[in-house]
Amino acid sequence: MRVIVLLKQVPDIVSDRRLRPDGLLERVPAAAVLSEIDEAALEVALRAADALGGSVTAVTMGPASAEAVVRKALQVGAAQAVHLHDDALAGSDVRGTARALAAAVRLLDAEGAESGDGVGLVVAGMTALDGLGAVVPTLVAAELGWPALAFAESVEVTPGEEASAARVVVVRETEVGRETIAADLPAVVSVEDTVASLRVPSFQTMLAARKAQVRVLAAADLGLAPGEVGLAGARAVVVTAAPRPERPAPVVVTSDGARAIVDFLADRGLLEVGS
Amino acid sequence: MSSPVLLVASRGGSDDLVHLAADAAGGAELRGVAAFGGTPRALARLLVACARRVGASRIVLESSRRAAEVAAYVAHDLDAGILADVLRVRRDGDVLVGEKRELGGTWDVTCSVAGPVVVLARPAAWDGPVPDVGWLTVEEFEAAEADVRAAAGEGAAIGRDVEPVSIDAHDVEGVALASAAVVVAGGRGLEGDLTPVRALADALGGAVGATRDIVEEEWIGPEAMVGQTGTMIAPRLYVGAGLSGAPHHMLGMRAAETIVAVNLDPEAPIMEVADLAVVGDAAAILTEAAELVRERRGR
Repeated sequence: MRVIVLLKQVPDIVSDRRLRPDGLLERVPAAAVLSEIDEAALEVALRAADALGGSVTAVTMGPASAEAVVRKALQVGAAQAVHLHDDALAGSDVRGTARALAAAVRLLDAEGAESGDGVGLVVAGMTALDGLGAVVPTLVAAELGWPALAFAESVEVTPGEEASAARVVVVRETEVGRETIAADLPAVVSVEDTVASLRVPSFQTMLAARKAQVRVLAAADLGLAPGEVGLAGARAVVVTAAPRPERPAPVVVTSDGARAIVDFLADRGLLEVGS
Repeated sequence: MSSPVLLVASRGGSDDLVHLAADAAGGAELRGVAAFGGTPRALARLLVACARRVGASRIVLESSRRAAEVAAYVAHDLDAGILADVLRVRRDGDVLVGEKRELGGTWDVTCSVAGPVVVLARPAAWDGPVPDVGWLTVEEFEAAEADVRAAAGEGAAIGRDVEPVSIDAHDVEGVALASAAVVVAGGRGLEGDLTPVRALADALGGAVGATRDIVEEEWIGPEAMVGQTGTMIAPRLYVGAGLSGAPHHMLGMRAAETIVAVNLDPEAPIMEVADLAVVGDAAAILTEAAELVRERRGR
């Protein structure tokens, strides 16, 4: 069974991140890293592939510089790397992104199925820069008609036996509580950054990565029409993006701190805003 | 477009959320449904049936982890766009425009969606009378449930769902973090005892937050974690005490309107983003401040 890990090139969270006037993240190649969350997703994918006796295919979507993140996956033991790279994909909203990623999963599944090596599991990081944490992985699952197990803090994959299908069990934390959920494979899992630490590359995997080719796929290769993805297919568009004005320098207090806080809150009318 | 907006909320829930939903309606009817149970997939199917019953193509939910999952399925089923984590919205004909903050609250971004839309709201504070919500009648709700059953009976291609195995529900004490107007957060500087944080949060009528560090130390449960992989908050007032302001935490709280920091180290990153930076011992200052706030608020 194949395991797919979805990776996203992001700027380092401590670097100076900027949005372009069109609201897209300005991707500075020098600052781009595999995020901690995607590292965790990659490790989960590698372990799942071991458990299932399969291999990992790393998939990313983005500009030319995004190739670096799937290269990194090859260095730690992913068998294949796929880069969805096409001007027609640029500016995709979450729906378009999910559509393109799901189409790639379907393509890899169909290719693998011919040799009895269909996709069993898709792993993604829960990118949490805003409320979209679970949206893209869950949308990918919805497109595929597969179950989505989001926000995993632990992931356990068991291979199928004669009488039972391969399964995944996830423990996760939501507002409701600490939940354990399960599903038969194939399924989509999104993980927290604490779920696992990425292994260090071995000499062997580094060597293999150097020889490996990154497969580039365009929208047409995925069977996607122009209106389904990219800016042309985006339902949600950014209208304006501007840095917020710098906060004025803080008022610094070094004595009688409690009284200073309460006076400050009273001044700003903040003593009564709570419930 | 004058189709109604469907608000997913509990009756007697957040007034701010109702205000935001009314703005999304922009003069059109505002309908409400209080439905929360089941898996996200199953709940989404029910909400879509409710939306279709009342002719709504704009759906508003309060942002949360669970809501993000539900929103994904609803958007998929209705072929809708998603506006996530918006503080305010306004309707402009067929287009819904949402305001949000990105990159850890350092950028103002407006996004728009034409046509069907699912809104994950993180409503800013509103004043004024709360708009009326036309809650779905029992008949309407039961009709929607029947629609879901009928679709399943006809073997509609609905995909597989997860199986819930077990749940260890949180004891939710006090005010919910995600929607609180006031959040008092503590870190390692509290040295294991969050009593002062709870005292000030109680006095101000706010929620208790925590850094990832102290959640990992198990000083408090993970439901209190503020940050990139915890709850993202945008309260009117944030007080951070005994915490330095690690990137993980700052991404979760920088959208706060007013920031007060209390730390022994005047150079801590949190002190630089604060409106009021108090240098001193967090536990002592919070305990005394809680006492003073109670006196001023007369409770």
